[in-house]
Amino acid sequence: MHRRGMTLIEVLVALALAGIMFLAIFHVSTIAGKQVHVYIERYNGYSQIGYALDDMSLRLPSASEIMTPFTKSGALEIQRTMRFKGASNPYDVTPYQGDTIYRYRVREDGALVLEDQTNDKTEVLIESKFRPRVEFIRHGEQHDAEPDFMTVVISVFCERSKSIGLPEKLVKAEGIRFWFVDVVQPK
Amino acid sequence: MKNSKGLSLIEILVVLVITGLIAACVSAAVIGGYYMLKQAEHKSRAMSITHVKLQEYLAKSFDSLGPDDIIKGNESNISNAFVETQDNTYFNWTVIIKNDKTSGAVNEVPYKNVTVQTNYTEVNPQGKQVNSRTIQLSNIVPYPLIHILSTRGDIDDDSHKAPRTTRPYVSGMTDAQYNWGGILQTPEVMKFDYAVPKDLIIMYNLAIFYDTSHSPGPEQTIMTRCRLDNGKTEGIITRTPIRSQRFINNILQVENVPAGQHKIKIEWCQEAGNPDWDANVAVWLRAYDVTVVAVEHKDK
Repeated sequence: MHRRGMTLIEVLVALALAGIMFLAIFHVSTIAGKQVHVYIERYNGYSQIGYALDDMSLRLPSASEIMTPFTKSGALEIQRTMRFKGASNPYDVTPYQGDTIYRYRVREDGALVLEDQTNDKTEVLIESKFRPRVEFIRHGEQHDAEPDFMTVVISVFCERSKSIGLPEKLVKAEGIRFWFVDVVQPK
Repeated sequence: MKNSKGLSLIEILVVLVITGLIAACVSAAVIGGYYMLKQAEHKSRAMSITHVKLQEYLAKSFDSLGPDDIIKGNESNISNAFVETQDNTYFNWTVIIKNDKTSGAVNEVPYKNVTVQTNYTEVNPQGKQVNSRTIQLSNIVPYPLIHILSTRGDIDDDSHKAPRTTRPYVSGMTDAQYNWGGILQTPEVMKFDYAVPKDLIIMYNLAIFYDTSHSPGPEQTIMTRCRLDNGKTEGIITRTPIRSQRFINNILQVENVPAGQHKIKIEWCQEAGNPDWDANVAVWLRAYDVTVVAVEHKDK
């Protein structure tokens, strides 16, 4: 029987086709891999923002004293930390009788933390790798906002998001109404 | 033995087509996943904006929310952080406030319906704006259960003089014998208009001054009372010695005051007293303070 191998042209064409196929598969799988990584990071980022906002929505409304109050009622004012006296157990609140001093702030290492300054405890709400930024916003008379209301906006960075065409920064906001005190206080 | 040969052109083309189809499916999944993620993030962002605005308006008082108000804005009104993270999808919010009331068998209690809508338009993979989306949240601002009204005034002259009774005080005096007069020159000290029946607690304080050149007798008194609209005396009539006590106060309760306009009158008169007393003693009002706590009436 006469058997012949592939010709050089056939081998080259086969190699070229295989190469294109491998490149395509590699490219798609790289993008898919990146996407999965970025998606997980973004999900993680959103979860941590949600966790921080939930914590603030739980503790801040029952505050009995604001130690970093907004002082101007007529203009937009933004603060980066919020120190207040609140209940040690936010599920068991006695009006006007906070027993614990808390502070929300972005620590020097970049993490957003809740400091329990009475008991010297710290809880990390958002990891430093997300480079969180927090804004406690008082819109003032521009929105005719009530003196017991403020907006909290938290943003985090999700690196590598740009590589798949998504914005690097994630942002979420929450409106917080205080039950017992005003966040705007005269000097 | 059969002659073995390489792949034919047709076979190569079939392989290419199959490979292309598989690549297209994978690419579609990757791109689809990307746009689904974007859509989910847009929805989450719209929900966040809507929730913040709803919370902001729920924090306002019942009276500060005008009927049929429509307020519009965009995400830049909340924080610049939203502007910094904008892609090519823009979010506009609208707050709609409407008056409404319950259809209860006893009281129709008014409330304000606050609806917040956030609109945005999704962009498809070709960059064209396609589906217009709306996130809507609603809640109510209820009519307050408790209202507090107060009024006060200082009078620096002798313009508000207590009228005198026609005879010395005896138990069971008639209204005509008291010769009541309002403490102010206006017919009432306070008006109110509540949308539901209320139980009232009325408190008033009066500071008086008398003509020191005519010393009142030790039992010479000033009497005060409170009336709702032009009805009967509510609570008790106070009887206070002029000489020893120049501060008069009274607290009274009025139950189930119907919804609508009402006025509160505080009236007073000076006892004519014993013929031995100095008939020229004049009593003037120097300050007054009236506070009304109105609690929604509940049928027991």
